[in-house]
Amino acid sequence: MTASRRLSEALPSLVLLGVAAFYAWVSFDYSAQTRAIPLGVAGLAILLVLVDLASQGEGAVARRIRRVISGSGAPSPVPGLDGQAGQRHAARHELAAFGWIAGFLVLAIVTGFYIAIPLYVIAYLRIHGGKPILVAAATGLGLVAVLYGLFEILLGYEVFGGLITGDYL
Amino acid sequence: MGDALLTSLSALVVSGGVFYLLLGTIVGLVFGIIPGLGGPTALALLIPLTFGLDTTAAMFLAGGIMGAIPFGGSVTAILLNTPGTAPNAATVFDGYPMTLEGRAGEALGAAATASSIGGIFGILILFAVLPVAREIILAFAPPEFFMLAVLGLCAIAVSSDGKMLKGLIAACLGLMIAFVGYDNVSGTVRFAFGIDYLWDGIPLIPALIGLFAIAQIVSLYLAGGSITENPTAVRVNRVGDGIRAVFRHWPTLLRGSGIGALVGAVPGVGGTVAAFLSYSVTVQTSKDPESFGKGNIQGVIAPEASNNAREGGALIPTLAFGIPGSAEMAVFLGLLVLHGLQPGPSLLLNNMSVITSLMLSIAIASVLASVLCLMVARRLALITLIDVNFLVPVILSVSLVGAYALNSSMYDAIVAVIFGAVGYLMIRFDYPRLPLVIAMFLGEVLEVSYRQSMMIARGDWTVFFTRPLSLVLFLLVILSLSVPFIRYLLRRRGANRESTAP
Repeated sequence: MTASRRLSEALPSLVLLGVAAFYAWVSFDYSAQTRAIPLGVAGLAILLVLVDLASQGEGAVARRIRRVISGSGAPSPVPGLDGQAGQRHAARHELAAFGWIAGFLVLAIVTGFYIAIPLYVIAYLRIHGGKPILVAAATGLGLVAVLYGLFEILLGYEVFGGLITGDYL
Repeated sequence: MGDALLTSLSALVVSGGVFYLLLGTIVGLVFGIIPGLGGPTALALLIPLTFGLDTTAAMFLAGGIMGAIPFGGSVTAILLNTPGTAPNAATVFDGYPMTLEGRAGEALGAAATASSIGGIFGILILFAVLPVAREIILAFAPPEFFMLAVLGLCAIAVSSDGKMLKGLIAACLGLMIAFVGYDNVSGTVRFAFGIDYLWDGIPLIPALIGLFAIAQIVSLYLAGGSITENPTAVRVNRVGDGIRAVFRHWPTLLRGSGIGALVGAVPGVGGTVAAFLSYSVTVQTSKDPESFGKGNIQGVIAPEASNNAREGGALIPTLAFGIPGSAEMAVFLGLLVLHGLQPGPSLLLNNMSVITSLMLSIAIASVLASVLCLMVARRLALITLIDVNFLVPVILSVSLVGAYALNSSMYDAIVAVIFGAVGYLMIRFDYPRLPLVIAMFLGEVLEVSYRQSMMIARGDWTVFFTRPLSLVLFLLVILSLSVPFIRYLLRRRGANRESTAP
């Protein structure tokens, strides 16, 4: 296994280690009683992540840890969606998925849901799904109508109108 | 409990509960049929919609969903070889071969009857156990609650097969999230980093919507296409033969239901284990094990009965101790919290009618879902032909509007998206989400009961080991953490025995 591959596989554990260490460091700002449990949990998390990191290698120690923890010395399969090994998707596809979600969120914050939903649905179905514009528009407008009926009429909620209408976040 | 049951029956019949129950059942069927969605997503999306409803109506709606989901998933498992939810995978082994033999109606009839009876069986077990659980809970003091919370977390983390370490790390992460905001004992605000929104902590329901619904959207986006491309022309007939077969094979039905209720009550083990265990026990005890996997109707009855019975079993730790047995139950706890109900002693003592409403609705939904499904099974299976591209924007819009509607705060929608990313990354890197969610629920109980115990014992930490009940729970914690090691030793002994055999 190359060093870069090993680093990329250890990256989630390293990020978690950083988060737990930062959490433990921040908890020292609080009184002894207030920080007792959070600090203990952060310390435990650091310990567990270190054991996890140690178990990822190919040496005798790593194999022994894996045997004790998972009942098998075999290396963990390459994680994929829903635990299915080898079903990873390209990072650019994953980023695109989050891009669509983030884009919709920003649009909803700025323009409110009733403008953002049809715009997002039409754009998504047309650009990503390759659907005809009429189908995309009907889906978007139909969805807004259903949500309006459900939230505003049936449940009596006032759905966010967007920063452009002066609504607060 | 009898009075509470009468109150629930009256709410069901007189106060329009039937409408919510029917609605929940239909929603549950649809979410059960579409692979990848399932109970947690359905309940997470439902929670904001129940805000304007009274608690009993919300229970009918949730019970309808919980009762219908298990059978919804078996329709596509039998007709299209595509299990709607993970536990329905065991039904595929014999259900789909029956469809290929032209016995789809028989398989559906058997699955529907086994699901209905299994669902009712699970609820009867819950009905019998709750009064006992109530007495047990009254014997609990803060040290016991602390140990119980630790035990719940450890049992769930360890049950993540082969992922104990990652399960424990996820549980720690969930606890760390749970400690954000006001400390209930001292009043200090922790880990808010100057953000006012975080003073009340990270809101649970938007986080749940993110972890389940939005993370699922990303998975659907990446999967693309439709669930199935070519459903065979299936004829649904001879349903009555399937129904009769269930009664003919009553030991299989009872065994499956018993395994489901028992396994369901163990936190974290879940319906998939129950369904497969029930299936494998049926195969092992059969006089004709070779016929399984080739269309043996008992291979449909056993997992389906178990799958529905586990709902009742899973509600025992959820309602009595506030320790959810599965992801679905964790989201359901969110629903209870939203309606101002705290699972545990107060719920059992003061809100029994809420529990009986839920039990009633799950039992009725198990039957209703089966009847509805048999009427329109063929058409329901066509749902899986829907292009995923339509599901993604619809679920995302409903998720974010729902997250916003809870507190009329767009920050909640932002939290949902952030937790959606966290949930997806956990799926991506093989970290189980269940321990994280359950730790978010148990964080407060764990910390408050720890500090109360220390106050009661004047700082003497041996209080956790000197009280008999607390000591028993501590020993169970140790035992649960030793499970992988015991499994390793057993495997090694088995391997040694094989290698020394002549």
